[in-house]
Amino acid sequence: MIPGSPRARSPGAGWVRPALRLGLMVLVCILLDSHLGPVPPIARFFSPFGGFWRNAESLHASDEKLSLRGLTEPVTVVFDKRRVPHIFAQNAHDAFFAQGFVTARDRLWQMEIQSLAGAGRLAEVLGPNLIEHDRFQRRLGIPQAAARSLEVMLRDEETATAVRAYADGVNAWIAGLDPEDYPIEYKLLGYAPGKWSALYTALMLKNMQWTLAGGGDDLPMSNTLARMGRDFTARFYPLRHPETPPVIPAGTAWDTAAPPPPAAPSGMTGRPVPPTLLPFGAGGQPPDSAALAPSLPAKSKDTASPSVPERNPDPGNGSNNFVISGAHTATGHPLLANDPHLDLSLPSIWYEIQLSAPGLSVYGASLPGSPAVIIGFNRKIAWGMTNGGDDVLDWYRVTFKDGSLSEYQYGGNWKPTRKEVEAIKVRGGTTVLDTIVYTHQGPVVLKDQEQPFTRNTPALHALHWLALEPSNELRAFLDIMRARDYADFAAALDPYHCPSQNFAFASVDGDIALFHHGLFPRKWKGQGRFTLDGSEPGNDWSGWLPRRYEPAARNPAQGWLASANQSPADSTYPFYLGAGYLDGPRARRVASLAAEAESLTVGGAFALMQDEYDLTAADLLPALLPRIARAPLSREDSAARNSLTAWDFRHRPDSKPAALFDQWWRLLYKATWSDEFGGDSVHYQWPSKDRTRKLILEEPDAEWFDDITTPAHETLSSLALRAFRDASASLRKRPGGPPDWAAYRPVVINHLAHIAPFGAMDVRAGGCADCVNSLKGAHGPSWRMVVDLSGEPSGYGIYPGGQSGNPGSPHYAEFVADWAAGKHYPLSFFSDPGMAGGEADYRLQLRGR
Amino acid sequence: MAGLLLLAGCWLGGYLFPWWWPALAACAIGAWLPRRAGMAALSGFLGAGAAWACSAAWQDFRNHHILSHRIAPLFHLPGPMGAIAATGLVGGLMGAAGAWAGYALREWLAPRALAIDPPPFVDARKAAADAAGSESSDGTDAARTGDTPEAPLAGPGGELGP
Repeated sequence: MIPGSPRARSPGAGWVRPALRLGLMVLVCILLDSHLGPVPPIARFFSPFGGFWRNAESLHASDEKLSLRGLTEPVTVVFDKRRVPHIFAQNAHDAFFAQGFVTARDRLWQMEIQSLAGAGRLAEVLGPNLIEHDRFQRRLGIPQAAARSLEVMLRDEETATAVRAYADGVNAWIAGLDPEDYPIEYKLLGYAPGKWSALYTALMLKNMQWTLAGGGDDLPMSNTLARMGRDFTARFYPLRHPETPPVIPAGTAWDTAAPPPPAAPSGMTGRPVPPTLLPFGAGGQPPDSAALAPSLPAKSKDTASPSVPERNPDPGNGSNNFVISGAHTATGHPLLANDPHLDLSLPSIWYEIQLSAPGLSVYGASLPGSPAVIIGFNRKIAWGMTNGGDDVLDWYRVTFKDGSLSEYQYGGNWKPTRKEVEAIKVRGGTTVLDTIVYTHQGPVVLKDQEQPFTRNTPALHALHWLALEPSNELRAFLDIMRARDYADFAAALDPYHCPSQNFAFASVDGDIALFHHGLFPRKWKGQGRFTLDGSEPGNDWSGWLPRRYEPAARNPAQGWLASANQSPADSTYPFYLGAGYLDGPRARRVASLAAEAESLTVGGAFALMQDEYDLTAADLLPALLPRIARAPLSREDSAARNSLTAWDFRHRPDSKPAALFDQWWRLLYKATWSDEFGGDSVHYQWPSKDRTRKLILEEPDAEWFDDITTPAHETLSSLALRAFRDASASLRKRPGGPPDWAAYRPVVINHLAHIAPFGAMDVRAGGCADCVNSLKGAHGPSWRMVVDLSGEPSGYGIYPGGQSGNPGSPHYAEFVADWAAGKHYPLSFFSDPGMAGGEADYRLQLRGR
Repeated sequence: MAGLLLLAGCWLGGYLFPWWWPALAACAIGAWLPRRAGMAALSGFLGAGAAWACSAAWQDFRNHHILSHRIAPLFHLPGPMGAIAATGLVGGLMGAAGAWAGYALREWLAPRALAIDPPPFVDARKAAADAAGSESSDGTDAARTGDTPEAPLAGPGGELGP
């Protein structure tokens, strides 16, 4: 022992100290690698070598050359300054392979999470909070339907090539990833991307069908019918809206050889009265207070944890499109415009792309997860879509023999149900089993005494839903992309079934057209408006409406066609397609602006889509303001009233009267109906705001304005005054005083997993729910596109997002500010890679291995 | 010196090894260079912390702070600088724990190594001045009792030296 050495002076330390310190070191590492609530493992996540910093994308991209297994010929991808990929391939297979590759490069996490959501597999990667989400998806039958649709897609050579090549492209990208390259959401949520399969494409498309054709008011309508009676229902929920021009111009001749529509079963009047109220979750039993427990789980506001996605499609999922013939445009050639209104999110639902291969040259908005372009234009034609809104989802009350749910009554007999067991894997290793019961109509989504999934899901009802039928919508898009004229386009729509859409079309030939297209069940008038008795065979759908009877128009004399989710046809149309159309002020305004268009330019078409004029306000204020004109008002209220008098009914971001009107109208609407529909927690369908507007204008003395819960007799005037004072006072109480429109209704573009800092919050923009620019808080124009069909089509567009799905990319939310400001970009449509010139940012050269 | 070596080791090894590399690298360096436990921990913290913070800062600079602006609020950090500092802190914690453990390992396994000449690139005088001016965090450590690095004891050593 050397004197003076430390060891010599502490002979007792031995192995204990190093062991303790090594243990401490390991403990520090374990602690830094733990999930603490929503917080990801800190050390992994913060590591600058493998964590989130690796997602901090450099601002300068450079050309790359890659060899990929699966490509048959070399492909050049030119990325323009907005990071839009322009794919130049030598065959369709390679074009879709490259589409899969570049889309995954930019949007992998979004693609996978949306497909897993469709598959009901979120709990597998995100944990037990998502079990109920997954159960609901599976009860709806979406994963099973996707698998059946995939079979159809794979039987068709074209779609099989497209989905397989796309999947190979996605997997080629995934194969090249090390964990440090994973999109940041994987790192934050702590899982890894799996292998992509063609089924994911089918799931993604099925989930779109849920978004656009998964709504249904059957349950609240039935509850309303039971409570308010037939007269009220007929009066306040009319099937026809003469004020609103239909999608297909009134007076269009229908196929005179149309077969008679099916008859309602004997004893049916078209409006079956359910035996009792159907509070959701109460299984059709007589309501009692214990059974009425409608409180849905509150949405998590936790910024770092994913919350349960909204499970009910937004009833405002709509859109505008219009086509103007050359007679009314500045160029003398048609203009086509389209803006689909969807939940706004980051990453955006859309991804711009150009696909070029022999026989294929198309530009437009694609859905990450699916090959093809969904809305866009090629060298000859342009097309755009709005939601059709037809009723293809019906609920059938099932009378089960006993609690085993093994037999149900049908046509006077007992029929056996079919049962399938679903295994929901949960992160952590457990598996939840769920038995799904099917009648011949479809799955029984909610059993008795279960926590309801959505407010519109009735218990012990079987779901008959078109989206559960196998179909191959992708084939339609593959053909549309190659269509050269009207005949090609009309034929291309054939395989498209669901969700029904208003397909607007324009061509360089000068044609304009609009097809209200989808697969429509043949129904008797009113069938499926309310929940149906599932034991009555006459309530089943009776086949499909042949395509030649669908409402469509080509080159009408009026010189324009427009749709905004309103009724497809006027009262002479012989078939019943549904009742949930949005026959409101937006449709009326779009139609009137399209009709007035003369010498329309591209800028004019964008201005039309961004119109902020509120037809409801323009109708109502002249009727309501006089009712409070002589009322004693405080100085502030009086000034507020004067501001409304001077308002031009436009929802501009800086308009204070716009905010005041909205608040006033909200409170007045609520005051009108809350007494009629109050007193219990049953889910009712209130008369629409548009119908209430009509009531105010046409029947201002109606009994409905009296609040039946008070002994006093209220009138429209007294309700309006009270609502006005409350509205004015509530706005004054806000910090900073009465807000302007953009502060009152901030636009929030949330991240898909509700990770707040990854979203765009408090975006200031104009527009309103009833405006053509139908921009609500988190819902609105998700892609604005105008195509000028003169000679070579030229497109213009913008969406509220950016091409990259990486929050660390300059291209992540690149377009949001311009979108909010009402700007748009010219869409570069290159004929060959060399044409890109200075517009190219960088190139990707792909070749087979 | 130990800190600088660790900085370089953490940075280069960061691309090759998993996230816990700073702990291991610091353990090795702690078992080699520092002459006092407190010094080991401090060098570990500063070396690994600087490696992580500098690497983060470089990536943040190239990114024009786009990502750090989005990440910082997730963890209630004050902007990009907060995200960089937090990164340094996490790396530093692992570095400190690793180096402290490494020093204790050497105490136990190769006590003589503590007495050998430091490698020629270590400025012995500076190390001595540091040692004299700082308290070890290790309360019972013999290192506190006054080694005399100015007159390093000769030993058979070299077993841990370069």
